Amino acid sequence: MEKNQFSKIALKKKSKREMSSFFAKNFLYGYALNQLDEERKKALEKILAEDESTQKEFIKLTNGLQYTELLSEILVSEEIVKSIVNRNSQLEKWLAKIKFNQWPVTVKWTMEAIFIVTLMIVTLNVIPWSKLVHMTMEDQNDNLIIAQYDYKKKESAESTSEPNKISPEFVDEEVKSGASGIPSNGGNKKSESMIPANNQQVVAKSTVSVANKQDVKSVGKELKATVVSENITKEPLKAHDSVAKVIDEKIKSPNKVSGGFLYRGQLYVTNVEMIAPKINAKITEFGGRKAGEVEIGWKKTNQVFYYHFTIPDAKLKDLQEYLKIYTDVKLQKETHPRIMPDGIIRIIFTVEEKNMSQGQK
Amino acid sequence: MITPQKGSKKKITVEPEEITEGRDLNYLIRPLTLFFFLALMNEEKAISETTILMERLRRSDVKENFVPYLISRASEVVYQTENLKTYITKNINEKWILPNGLDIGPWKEFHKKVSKEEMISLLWSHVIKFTEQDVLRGLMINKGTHHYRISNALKKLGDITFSINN
Repeated sequence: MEKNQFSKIALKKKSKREMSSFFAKNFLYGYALNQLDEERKKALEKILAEDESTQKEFIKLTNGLQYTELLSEILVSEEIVKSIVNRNSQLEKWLAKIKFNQWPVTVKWTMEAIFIVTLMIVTLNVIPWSKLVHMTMEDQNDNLIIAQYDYKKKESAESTSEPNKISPEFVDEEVKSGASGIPSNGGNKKSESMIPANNQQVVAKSTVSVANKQDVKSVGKELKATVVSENITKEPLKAHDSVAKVIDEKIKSPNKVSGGFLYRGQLYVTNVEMIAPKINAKITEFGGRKAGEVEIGWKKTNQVFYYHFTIPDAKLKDLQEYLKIYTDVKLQKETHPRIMPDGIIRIIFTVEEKNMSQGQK
Repeated sequence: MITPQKGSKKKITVEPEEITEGRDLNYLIRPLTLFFFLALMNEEKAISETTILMERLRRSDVKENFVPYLISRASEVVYQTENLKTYITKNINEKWILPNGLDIGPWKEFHKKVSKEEMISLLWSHVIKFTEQDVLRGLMINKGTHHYRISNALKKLGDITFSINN
């Protein structure tokens, strides 16, 4: 075929151009664009009609041209154009400048991971998370703890006392001896005494028990709510907003002068069994209410009656005047961590059967 | 003005003659984006390179006939960019609106086989359709070389489309 073509190539003749297939293939593009002169065009057409390979080449060329024609019809969306037009942000410019998109994928991911980790560390350190947590917890907690009692210690203290006896809440609230409290009348240092009608002096005794100290300590360390109308129960005083009326926040240690006080006394009478109920009635009449576990005038023994109650301050003198009927009244004022509301005082005394030896003390 | 050798890939440096302020060059964004898209086959790169080049064009002191300058700069970017491994394969119609009946597959195949010179010549002349004079000036080649490259590119492209169709 090639030999034949080689042999058939005619030399250039006047007004006639012959073309080989090699040349024809190179002129195909010009022919497709109609850029050839007439002579070359005719020569090429002649080759095209005769040469199959040239025809195939021409077909490929035209296919390519048709495909590029379709490619030229691709439209770029407005979104891209606007993003390019409006791309003014410094970050994007900077990223485009450093050709961030051309970085290797691993490097890009590493840089992004480092950036995110750095951001997280800064966020965790700057934001006060503990405060936020506490704020949310405070909002959820509506309960107000007013007072807490350590009943385990109390039970252990009660277990050491006499069994089978209902002991008052304040086991320590026995009448003390050698009390150091402030006497209400400013008389004797050790005791406060009302001058009895028969000029007999009654010395108040007081004992301090071990449980007293324990209880005072446990009470002293906690916030206390004084109950005016209700007795203090063994249940912890949580969320009893209606019960608590006064909260003493100054109580911090039992050894300090907290502002609370208590009147203590020990009365000796004859025929205590008969007199005790009368005293009970009178106290109740004066507005007295029990301040401990037991009722007013609790019969401790056959000869001892225990009184632990609160009474309006104004009625103290009246009470003392009444008690004078039966015996000398010496009430010692002592400091106590338990604070009563204004105008209310607390009194603890025992009424015992007078013996001959006690009458002379 | 520096005149590089024929067929070289050196860029054109045009002496500033006149600065035209407020010229609207946004009409070049579409052809430039399309050129980069087909030449680089990467959407993100196409947009980023277009942005950079447009910014450079705005800051440049090129006079009103700046198409050859654009052709020169854009071609230089393609020459310097290595062929990426990632090609656009999905969601191409979201940002690039293809005409009916166009399959981008043959172009992808063509992109792998053809030389950059042939592809660039083909793109500027038959896809972007800048004038031949501007293209020759931008690529700094003569007409014969340009036609030769286009012819080869078209034949390769036609061969791929022909084989796919058949």
